[in-house]
Amino acid sequence: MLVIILVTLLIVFFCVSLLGEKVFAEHKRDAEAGGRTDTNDTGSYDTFIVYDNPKVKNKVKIYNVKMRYVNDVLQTSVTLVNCTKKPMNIVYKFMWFDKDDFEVRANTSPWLPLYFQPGEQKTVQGVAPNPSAKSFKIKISIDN
Amino acid sequence: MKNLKNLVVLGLIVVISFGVLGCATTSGGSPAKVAYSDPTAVETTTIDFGSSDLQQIAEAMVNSMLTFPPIVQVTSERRPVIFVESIKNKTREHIDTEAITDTISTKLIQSGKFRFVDRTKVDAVLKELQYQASGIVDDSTRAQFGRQIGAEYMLYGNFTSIEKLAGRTKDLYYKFTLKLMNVETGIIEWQDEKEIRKVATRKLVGR
Repeated sequence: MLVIILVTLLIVFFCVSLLGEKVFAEHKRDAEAGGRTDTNDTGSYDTFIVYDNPKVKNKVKIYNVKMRYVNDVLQTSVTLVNCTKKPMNIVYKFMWFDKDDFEVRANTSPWLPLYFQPGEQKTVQGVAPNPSAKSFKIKISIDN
Repeated sequence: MKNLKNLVVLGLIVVISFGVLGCATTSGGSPAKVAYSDPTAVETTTIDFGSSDLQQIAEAMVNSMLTFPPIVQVTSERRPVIFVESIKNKTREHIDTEAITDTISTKLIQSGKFRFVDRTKVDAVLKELQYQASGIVDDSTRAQFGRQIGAEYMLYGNFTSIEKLAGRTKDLYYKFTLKLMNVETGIIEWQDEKEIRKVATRKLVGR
């Protein structure tokens, strides 16, 4: 009897894990395909963020990512959160990539300043330089 | 003793000469060390208008124009032709507003959604057309008169600033307004603003 219960529990656990992975994969696929995502699992968005300075790593994280196409041009909205207990002055820039992962108009996006209160969430938006952009990354650094 | 005195005088001359040369080099504006830097980096050398302000303004204006629903509708059907009028600089600073409109028009052209005509080059184009019509150029390849495209929209705007000084703190507020007017109807089809606030606090010691 105990063995049957254990096996049932294992099967249920396995199914729940599979479902969880599927939901996460769907969220990620939606984001990459230009749909919208609304999960608040900060770990899910690590692929969208590039830390340009080790000092800022793990201090700023992505809370939410939304993407859509406006007249074939990719538009993104990224909610960042200051995970520290101190105010922070950061700078960020968007990098855009085409379907072959080549950067679109490389090194032309400006670094933009952003001021954060401790624990504060701030949403920043970007628009791709042209319709060839199919994905993006947000680069984050410390304002010197 | 005399030799020692001469040595001291010579030493002083050398030290003073180095000092004068050093001052001349610094006051001449040549930094001691030159290095390339990121042109897109946030620049806060002084509180005055700088490259970061220009880039922020251009980015905000272009993003706004490319996602404004009525403009999206127009550009989904065709690539409208724009001409850049001018940005009135109402700030106290000498700012090359053409540099801002150049960055904006570059980004808009690169988006593939707009085309531009440059009315500042009319004389040069006219000269070239007259040369081509002079009989020197092969008729089958020469550009024809009266084939230029009329601009549908005019891009223009204002740039203002408010400056406040209190003790050691200076507060500088910029407002950049850009408008897109339909040349035929006179209607402003799109307009947006970008505000920038900068605060500088002078140190108690030093410059």
